Formats: sequence, C-alpha cells, structure tokens
Amino acid sequence: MLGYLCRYVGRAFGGLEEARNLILQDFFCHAFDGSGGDNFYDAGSCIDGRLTSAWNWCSQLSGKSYYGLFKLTGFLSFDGEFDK
Amino acid sequence: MSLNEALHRALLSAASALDDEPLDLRDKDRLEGPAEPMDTDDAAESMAQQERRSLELHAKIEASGVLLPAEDVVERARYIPLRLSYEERKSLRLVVSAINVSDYTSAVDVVFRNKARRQHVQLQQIVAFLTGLVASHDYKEGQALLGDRNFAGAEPLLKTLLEIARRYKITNPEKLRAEYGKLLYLMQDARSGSISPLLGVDVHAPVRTVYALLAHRGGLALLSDERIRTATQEILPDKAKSRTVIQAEIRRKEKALEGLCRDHASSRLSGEEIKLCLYSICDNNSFLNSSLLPIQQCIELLTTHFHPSRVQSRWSLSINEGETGARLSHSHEVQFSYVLQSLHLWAAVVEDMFRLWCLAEEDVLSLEQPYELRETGQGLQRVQQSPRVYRAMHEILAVTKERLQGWVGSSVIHLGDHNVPNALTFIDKYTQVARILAPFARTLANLENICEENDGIKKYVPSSINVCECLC
Repeated sequence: MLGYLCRYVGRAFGGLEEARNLILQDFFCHAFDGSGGDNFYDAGSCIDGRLTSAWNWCSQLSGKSYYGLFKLTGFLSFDGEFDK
Repeated sequence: MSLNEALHRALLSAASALDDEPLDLRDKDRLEGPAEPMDTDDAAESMAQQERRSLELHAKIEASGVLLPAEDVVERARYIPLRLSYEERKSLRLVVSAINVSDYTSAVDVVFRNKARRQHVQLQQIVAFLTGLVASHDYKEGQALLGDRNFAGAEPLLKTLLEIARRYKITNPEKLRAEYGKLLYLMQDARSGSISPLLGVDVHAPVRTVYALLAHRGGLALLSDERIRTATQEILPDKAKSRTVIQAEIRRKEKALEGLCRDHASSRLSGEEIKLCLYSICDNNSFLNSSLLPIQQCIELLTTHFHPSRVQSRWSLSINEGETGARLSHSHEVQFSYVLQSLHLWAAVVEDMFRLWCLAEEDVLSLEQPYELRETGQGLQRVQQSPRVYRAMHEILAVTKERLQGWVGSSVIHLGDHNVPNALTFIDKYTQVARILAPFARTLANLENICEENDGIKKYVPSSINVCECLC
C-alpha cells in the first residue's frame, strides 16, 4: 500500500520534496496574505487580520491541488481528529 | 530607564489615552459587595494597582533577563486556576447542562421594540436559569425559590457553581465553545445596572487561582522555591529518550513534589492543598506544551525550508495584491519576516493565554464598561471597550517586536469595534491557532512518513515533471 502512495506523490507532484515545498509555499504565502476580510478596508495585516487570512486559507483547502495529499495522510478537518 | 521600560510606559499612556471614559473605581467595591477574605487580593485590586505591579514586575523581569509576565512562575500563578475536584466536576456538569438547554443569546441579542421589552426577556431568562440551577441542586430550595423569587439565600451556591464552570473553561479553552459565551453574556446582563437591582444577587465570584489560595493560607514561599520547576514540569514521551531516562525524570519530579509538600505544609496549608496547587501549575505547563508545539513546528518548517534572503525562484514566498486573492504585496524577504513575526506573536499570546482569559472575563463582566448591542455586519454583537485585554495585548506585541527587532505590517489591535466587538470574541480567536496549525504540521509530518519507507520514490523524481497533475 505504501509503495503506491509514494508513486502517487512522485507522479502527481514530482516527489516528496516538491510536494512539501508546494504545500509550504502555498501556506506561507496565502495563509498570511491579508485576505479573508469582509471588505477591502477590513482585510489586511493588522493583528487580527493575520488570523483571518489563516482561516481563509483553511476554508479554501478543499479546492487546492494538494488536497488529496492531505486526505491521504489522514486529515479530516481543522475542527476534528485525525483518522489514525 | 531601559528601552523596554520606556516602551512599556509609552504604551501604557497611549493605551489609557485611547480609553473612551475615565475609569471610575470608587464605586467598584460598593457595587460588588463585601468580598470573602480569601478573595480580597483579586476583588479589591484596582487597575491602578495592577499597573503599578506591572511596572514593578517589568523592572524585576528585566533584572533577571526574562521579558514577559508569563515567564515568571509567581506572576503566572496569579492566573492559573485550581484544578477541579471530584465534587466540583459534578457541579460543572450541572451548569453545562443548564446552559446547553438555555437559549439565552438567541432570545436576548435580537432587535426589540424598546429597551424595556428586552430587559423583561433578559430578566425572565436569567431568573429561569438561576432557579433551574438551584432546583437541580436542591429540590426543596428550588421549590421555595419558585414561590418567592428571593435569591439571596442561594447567592453563595450560585456564585460557586458559575465560578466552577468559568474556571474549567479557562484551563480548557478548547472546551465549552458555545456554552461559555452564553454563560458569560448571561452573567454580564445579570450584573448590569438595569437587571442587578431587580435580581437582588451578584452571581460573580473571582476565579480561584493558585496564587489566591497560597496567599490566603500564607504559603506563597512555595512559588519561590527553586524545586518548583522540576515538580511541575510535564514529562513527555520523547522518542529520543530511553525508558530509564524517562523513569528517572518521573522519580525526580515526584521527589521534588514530596519535598515541597513536606517543607511548605503548615497548620493553615495542608499537603493535599499544596499538591493541588502543584498539579494545577503542571496542568498549565501541559496546556502550553500542546498548544505551543504546533506553532514551533510551523516556525521550524519555515526556517528549514526557506531562507530569509536567498530566494529560489520556484519557491519564492512573494505575494502581490490582487493575485490569487492576496490583499498585501510583499517580496520574499518581507513575507518571510511577516510570517515569522506573526507566528512568534501567536506563540507569545498562547503562552499567556490563561492571563488573557482572566483579563477578558474581567473586561466582559466589568461594571465600568457597559456594552452596546450593534449591527456589525456579522449580526447583532455586544460591542464593548476592553482596556485590560487591550493593554495586555499591547505589552505582548511590544515585547515580541523587541525580540524580533522589527515589525512588518500593521500593529493595529482591533478591539471594541465592528471587527472585534469585545474581549471574548478577541480571545476566542487565539484558541483557534492550534486548530489551524496542528493539523497542518501533522499532515506534513505524515507526508514524510508515508514516503520515507520506500526508495522507489527516486524513480519518479525527474525535474521535468510538471507540478500538479491532479487525480480527480
């Protein structure tokens, strides 16, 4: 079973390094990009806004290209427990 | 004056200049009524005293080289609630069940034709809730209450019951998510100027903390004993350590605990009570270990896989406003710093979580800052000024900035406006940090695990493969 997971990561992303860097880059860019506010003026880099954009990223996770990887490693939701 | 102290003083004066109205502390004691001797420290301490203490503490901390109040055991003990006893847990279940059944905020935080109508519903709901609590606890007393609506006799009981629920929430911020808010708003209304004289009781009691218990029994020396760190550390199952090492650590901890109980027990303070205090402090350490760990893991992920100034073009962290939903424009270097600083700030806030919760409660239940029910774009919210939490956050922010030697982005702390209506909504957000980061860090760790066993991966890593051939 594990062998197949490795192959999936390799085929879909180009390898573990690549997959990891992709996820990290997307997280560090877009979970901290000031998005998620109700309107243009409320979003941003204020102390509270940093958390808001992190949540915004979480809510968009299911549309990401690497969502499959999250599911395969046992991720269920940000609110709940892990599968294993 | 050191830079830190100067910063601190400047922040305090800035924060107090931002307060809408001067705090009138004269009536505080009268309105709260006579406090029990044990709680005198907390109940009577005015904000001016807190300020003075904060400045003294900063001077003391400066001398010892440590920067945040959370890092000093004695100071931290002021906000570490005592563990619940077996009996108290039964009361907790009672209160939680009662709150579950109540629809307080749905009934009360809606638009009414006029104030009097709202007050009427508030009073109805509060009386029903309190009567229900008393009746479930003691049937006869509840019956009497239904008849004469005189809560005076039940006041100590109600104070105790509600204090237990609040204490539980502070030690377990991730529990009672819906219930606690309802309870706090109910208490806020019960204490308000319009309801309180009609109700005739005050249901607020200060949360019982380690410091309060020790101060009352003359056992504060316990907190300054150097064995306390060993006696309250959490022994984690670390894979790097062998079983014998862990056993030795456990034995050392138990020895320190017994030593402390023996040396500090007195006629006023029993060994069991000392153990309770030490276990409570240990619970706090355990909470910190579990909540800070995901943040530290994320910081590690950032610093291991990305460099602050060297950019690999494929893995640059730069963002541009308008692209892929970003609202800010940062170069790679700036974004790196921004993320690192945000994570450090969250770590500092989580570390001080118990103190911030206690302050948030004080702000929400304060008699000096009434709230206003306002439409904020997210429904009707209780908008309320919260000077204590505001001040504490500014302190934490200042120390974080000092440590990181710089700050990217805004330092604005929204509190008491349409973005963050009150201290409760503010502090509740920070309990979510672990919820976001823990699954993330765990996924990345698991990802490595599923790939590491197999070196068949090497066959599939030609760099010409394009990223994201999605399997749908």
